[in-house]
Amino acid sequence: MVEHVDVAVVGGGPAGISAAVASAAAGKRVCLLDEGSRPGGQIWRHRLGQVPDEAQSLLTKLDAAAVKVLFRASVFDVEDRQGSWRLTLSQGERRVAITAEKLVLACGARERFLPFPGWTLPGVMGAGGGQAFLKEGLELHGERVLVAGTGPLLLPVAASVGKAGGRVLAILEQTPWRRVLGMLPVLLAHPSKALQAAQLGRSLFGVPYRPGWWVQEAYGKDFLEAVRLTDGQREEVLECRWLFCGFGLVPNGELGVALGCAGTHAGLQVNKAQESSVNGIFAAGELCGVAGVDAALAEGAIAGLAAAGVWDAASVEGHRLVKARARARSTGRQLERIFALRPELRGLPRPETIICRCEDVPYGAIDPSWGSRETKLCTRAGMGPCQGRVCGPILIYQFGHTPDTVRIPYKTTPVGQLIAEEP
Amino acid sequence: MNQRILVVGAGIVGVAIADRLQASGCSVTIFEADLPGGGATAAAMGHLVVLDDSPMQMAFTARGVALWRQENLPKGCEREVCGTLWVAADEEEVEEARRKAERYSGLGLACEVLTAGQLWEAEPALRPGLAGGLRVAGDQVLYPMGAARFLLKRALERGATLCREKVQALVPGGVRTEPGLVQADAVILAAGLGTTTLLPELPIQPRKGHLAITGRVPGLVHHQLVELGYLKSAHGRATTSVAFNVQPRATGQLLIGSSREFAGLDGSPNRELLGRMLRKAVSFLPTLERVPVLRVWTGFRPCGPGNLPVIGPWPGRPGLFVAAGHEGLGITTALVTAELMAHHLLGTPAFLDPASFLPEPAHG
Repeated sequence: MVEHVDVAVVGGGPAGISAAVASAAAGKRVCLLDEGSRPGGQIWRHRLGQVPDEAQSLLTKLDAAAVKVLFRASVFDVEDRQGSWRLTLSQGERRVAITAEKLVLACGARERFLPFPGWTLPGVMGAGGGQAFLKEGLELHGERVLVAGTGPLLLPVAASVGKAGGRVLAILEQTPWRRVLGMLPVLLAHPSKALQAAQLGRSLFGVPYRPGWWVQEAYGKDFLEAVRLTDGQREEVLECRWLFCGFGLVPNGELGVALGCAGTHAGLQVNKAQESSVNGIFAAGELCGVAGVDAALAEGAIAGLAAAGVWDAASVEGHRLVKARARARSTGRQLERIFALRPELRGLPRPETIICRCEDVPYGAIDPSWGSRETKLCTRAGMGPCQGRVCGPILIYQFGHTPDTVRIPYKTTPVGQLIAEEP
Repeated sequence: MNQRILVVGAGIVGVAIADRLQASGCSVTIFEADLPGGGATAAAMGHLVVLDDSPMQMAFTARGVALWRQENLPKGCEREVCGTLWVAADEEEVEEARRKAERYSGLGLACEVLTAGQLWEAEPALRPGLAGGLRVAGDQVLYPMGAARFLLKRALERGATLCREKVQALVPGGVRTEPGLVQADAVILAAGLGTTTLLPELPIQPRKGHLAITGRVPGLVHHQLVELGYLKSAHGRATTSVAFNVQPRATGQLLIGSSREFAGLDGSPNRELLGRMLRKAVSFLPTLERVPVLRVWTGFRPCGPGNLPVIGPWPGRPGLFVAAGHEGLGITTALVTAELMAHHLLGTPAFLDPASFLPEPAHG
């Protein structure tokens, strides 16, 4: 049986939940699909029973709303069926098909990885991935940990390391001090963020915060043993067991791109009602450009109302949402400027440094004069299980590539589920 | 005699011709505005296979595979001599396997008819209850893009040049590009689907196919597996069809094919046909059901007017030669196509009757 709904929302983070709640409140039949096992997305990832306070009210609304929620659901195909959308997804062993009048994409963002010699050693992890491990219960037993990369996310990651019993040696922030100071006006304009920062600062008391420093190389035989860092002039070697390294986020725009929505690797284009260039497809939150949870909440609500056909920018609620969105987007742009990646990071990989982990493609195998398709066809970069989700942004950063085409299945899917018929 | 030759198209056929002629002392320029090998070559499966639809097709593909065998290919070509195993579903197909074996043996190709038990030993992942098969040991697989780049690189090292200008038109004694006319002793049109744009008298139709590539499952399949019903599918020209055709890659991945349809140039996957193709594959290889698919793509075979490609001088246009319409056999027959072309241009020996491939312009 193929279920039919008015609005299908892909992604169960703040943007997706907001959209689902808003559409449901307008009386629409809504289905919310998420790959995780509970609502909240990457940002509100939490141990069972420990829901972050800021998420609680929205999650309560979701519970109360008439929204059908499917967890562990990977959408692997979407077809345009003249005026409606047919989504096919894999849910464990099950294949589920849903048709929807409108689609809200709220697929969020993923970590950006940048390659440096040693970045594939066990013990080196993405900052967000590392934090997820810590939240799942990874214990660090006094082990030496370095947190490096860029952006505000490094601070909560370092705090989680401390909570898990690790010893944070330093936080390396690649952006220089003078640009970090640009955070002050942002914090002053957002008292709640300033409070968070102050709390983080207290929990990180004694941990050196080192703007203008970055990791050049990670060493180790079978596991990370040491890291060489630099500020462009000086170099230091720090012995450590773990390196949590994050270079910001990149939008999960693939599904939108595959469906023909206009946009770039930096985000899908949407109009004031969060509708994409394709009629009937709305997008909200990070996949329209990384701007954080406040943008996601406002845009999700707008997209949900617009998909339900009841969006009114002139209403009191509409006015509030438009204002919140503008404010959050402006902050997002400020942060993007402050934490822009320095050009030196492009020079880190050596010829033998792996660029595509799935297919073991080294940096030296890629001719800088090649475009993205040529690189893929000549080296297999991006052809492995992750289909370029990790190395795609690396190639864009290192070589200025444009993202390659997205093909079905949008998530690796067993043959049996691709061919199953709906009962 | 240092002939100046222009080759239009850097797909596998074009680069094989360019490499062959440059090696024989011609001065070759290859024209390719897009990515070399980026058309049908990049989408192809890379199965070097002897087919026996007709005696000439058999001689043509056998010579093609033999020429590839003589090449010392670098690692990037991912060549594996895995052989083809033609799978017989019932006694009728076993009979066909026997007749096939006689034809292959007649050409001196190593092959053996397998009983149901031997088939199961050779490929334990095949479903029980199959009747037998035919193993053709010399068939190979390679990575078409790698092979095309290898031939292009060798041609360039031998002194050929690659020109990235788009050829706008064929003119007497040369081609016209944006910057101007380029003159030569001969022009060889090897542009696959692009052939018809430059030479409307030679209709080349896109025949769309789907392929799916899986994650790594090393050791699950050992030969290129093709159902004996394949030729029925490949040559029923008007109909849309699927056939069981699975290839083990050097990476441990499997390529799953195949489908054929005339659907214009719309490259979006036809879910219904893809489903049929994958169901067919699972019906032969039940364990495939649990194997993850990473990616599905489509490509267009350049399908000419006859069962064989058109190779040779174009009537009424002195100095113009064509090599087009290889359909699904472009990779297998790229080197033999180059050999035939060299015969026409340089008088070197052809191992096949060149007359079978001569173009006949369409009338009306």
